[in-house]
Amino acid sequence: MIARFEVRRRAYLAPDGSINRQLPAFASDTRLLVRLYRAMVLVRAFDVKAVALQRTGRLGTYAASLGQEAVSVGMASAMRDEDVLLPSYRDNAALIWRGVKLEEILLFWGGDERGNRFSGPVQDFPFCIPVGSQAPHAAGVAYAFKLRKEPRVAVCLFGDGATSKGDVYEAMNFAGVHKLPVVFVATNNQWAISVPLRLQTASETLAQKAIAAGFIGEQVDGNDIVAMRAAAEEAIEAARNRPRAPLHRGGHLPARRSYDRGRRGALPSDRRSPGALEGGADRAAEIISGWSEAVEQDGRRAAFRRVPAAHRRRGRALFSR
Amino acid sequence: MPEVTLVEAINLALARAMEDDPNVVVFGEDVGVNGGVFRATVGLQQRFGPERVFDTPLAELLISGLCVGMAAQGLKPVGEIQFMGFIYPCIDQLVNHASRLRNRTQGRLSCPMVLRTPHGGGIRAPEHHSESTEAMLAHIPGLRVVIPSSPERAYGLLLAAIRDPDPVVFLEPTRIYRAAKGEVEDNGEALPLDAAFVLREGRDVTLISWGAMVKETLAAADDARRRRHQRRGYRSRDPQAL
Repeated sequence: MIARFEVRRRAYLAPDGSINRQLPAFASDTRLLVRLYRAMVLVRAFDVKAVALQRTGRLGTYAASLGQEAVSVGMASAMRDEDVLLPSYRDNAALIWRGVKLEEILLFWGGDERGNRFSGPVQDFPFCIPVGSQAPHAAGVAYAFKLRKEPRVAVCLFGDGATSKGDVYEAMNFAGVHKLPVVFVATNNQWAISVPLRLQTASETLAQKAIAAGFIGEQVDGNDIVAMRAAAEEAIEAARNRPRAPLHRGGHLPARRSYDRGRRGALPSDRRSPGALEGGADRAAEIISGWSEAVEQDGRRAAFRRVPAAHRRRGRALFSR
Repeated sequence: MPEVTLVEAINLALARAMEDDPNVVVFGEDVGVNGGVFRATVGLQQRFGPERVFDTPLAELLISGLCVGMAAQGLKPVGEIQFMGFIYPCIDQLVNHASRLRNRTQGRLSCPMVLRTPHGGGIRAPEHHSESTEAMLAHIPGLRVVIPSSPERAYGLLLAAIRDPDPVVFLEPTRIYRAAKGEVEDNGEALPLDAAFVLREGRDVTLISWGAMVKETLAAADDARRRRHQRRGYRSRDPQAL
């Protein structure tokens, strides 16, 4: 035996909603939990509306983010404004958290690139459409941070399908070599075109792909907003405060992580049916005091209200066909 | 003025750009410690340090993708692909990202990157080491393709490519890396990227050429001038087919 590795899994909430270990300190901040929950509800309501617009031909295409709200919100909420987000096309919730307007997202999916000149942080990347091809950008962005000695972090989100691409491997490999301030998040939504995870990879976990690149990979329950937020905060801050010099050789530095949102055995259809996919959102709700049905209604109202704004910005002619 | 080879002119331009602008970074396979397979980057790592001049893993897609990420952050990355035959993994990055980042973000982000690679045949090398697929690259909207034909133009055009606010693929004619010699003043002056160089004025024929073939083209022009009296003979060819 010359090497031995292990992959940790992080979860605070059991599938039945009960708390199975002591919650992290931030979970006593009720206002933060409500904010996280509102963000998840908002993007789910937005998703329903955007899918309807797509089905009725008013958006050319739209990539649903149903079921991965907690991943996007957990990651984005642990970032600072000056960090840089490199999202995949299902990370609506992360963009919205960072200030992108709903109508800007609708503009983009309707084929109007003015939606990419969005209200979020000016250096954030737009949605990446070619799967996984934003991962090398994240390495480049992180290299710039390191070169200029800026305490900033690049956060790169992609799905399970992207882990089958060379782009992701090349980027993670380079990030490992140069100990770059970047966090890679693989959302195992099992929506990859068009095969299940077992036909994407024979790896037991996606997280262990980070180990191959020389840094820590951790699996997190992506339906558990508490776990996602805790893991995000820990990884992002570790990346930010990476030891500068001298660096360890070969050791596990808590500086770059790959998240593997565990969903073993679940079928994509499970998460489209109401109830089965609620997971994190509902369970988080139970530990939020002061939560009410009003939060969901707010989310729906907000999502629906922004559609006319997209119409206006896009010009009536394009939307009324 | 010192006489230098084309590859030495490339080296001078890279050093000048790095000296003038701390945002310029140079990387690729063997460019750092080794100084490049053709010595184009020799001495740069010693002079500017291993953070600004570094060797990458053997991964061309990564090199082009790093360029995009760095450029969006305001760096001026100059990536090197060791031979043009290995540029094809970069096509996704060039077409889907580099050339359109400015447009698809409506100017919010831009991509001031340069991807350099040795180009063309005539060096007794096998396939993948003798490629000249510049026409393919030149058809990518938003991407500039530059091929110098002399040390002086290599120096001035590479400086222009690095200073340009948008992506440039800079193809260096391998056959004349050392065969072409000329005086180059290291004055930091760039040449225009969008203008043709008129090397010889004439009235009758227009010859357009680039890179290593410019030498042969000039020789052909000389030859045509010598045989001017035979032109009547050429006229008897099939003008309709032309």
